[in-house]
Amino acid sequence: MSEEKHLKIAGEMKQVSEACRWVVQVAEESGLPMRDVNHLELAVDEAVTNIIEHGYGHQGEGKSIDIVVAHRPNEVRVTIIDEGPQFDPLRQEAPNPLTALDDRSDSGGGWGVFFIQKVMDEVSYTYAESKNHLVMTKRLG
Amino acid sequence: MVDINVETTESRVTVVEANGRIDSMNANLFGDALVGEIDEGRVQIVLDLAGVDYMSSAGLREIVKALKLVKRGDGDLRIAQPSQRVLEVMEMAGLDTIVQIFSSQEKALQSYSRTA
Repeated sequence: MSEEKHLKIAGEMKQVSEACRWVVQVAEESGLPMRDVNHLELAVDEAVTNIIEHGYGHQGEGKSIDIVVAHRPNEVRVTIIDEGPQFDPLRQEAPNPLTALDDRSDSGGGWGVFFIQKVMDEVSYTYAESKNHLVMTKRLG
Repeated sequence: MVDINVETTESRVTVVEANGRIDSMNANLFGDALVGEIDEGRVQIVLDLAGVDYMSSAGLREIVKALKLVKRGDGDLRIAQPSQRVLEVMEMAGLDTIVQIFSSQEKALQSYSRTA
């Protein structure tokens, strides 16, 4: 049995909280433990924020982001689809948590993707039908 | 939504209490509040996160920026009572290796009197 739910949001920063609220609601309705719900919220927040900031360059009016949550007995899979330029976020260099303060970037430096990979069990990227697909899987139980 | 309350104690330590969510929508407001205090010369800061129920990498970025500024002014920024959830995010980014984190506001304040 697999149940899929879908949300489409505009590619604007003010929509990020709507995406977070929705994924939390879906995850809670699915009976996920609170820690998993929290991790899904963080992963969706970071992924959607990256798309709006970098993929759409804060100019996402008229563009959208699709979020699909597929809940199976042993996993939850969240797919985030955007129509920005082709970009594989998993290919960028990961930041190092042991970096000294003075050597840390003021502009962020890839922590969002790093967090996604830390809180999810599997993350993959594909480019299909002129869209970026980021697939984030959390195993249950 | 994030709310910021600021209070300067007799020991010249400034307590910044944040409440709510700190995410990409409002992290700049949170950062601006911290920088505003630092620009006024208040470089001994306790950042009390007891009321913060969620923080993304955008919020951590602002803490790192503020920490760099206070260190340049021979000050420090110490964090008090983050929730388990916020602490998890800080630990993932290794913030616990560059900033002192205390289980209460009182302990964070006392840490300044020990080093004064």
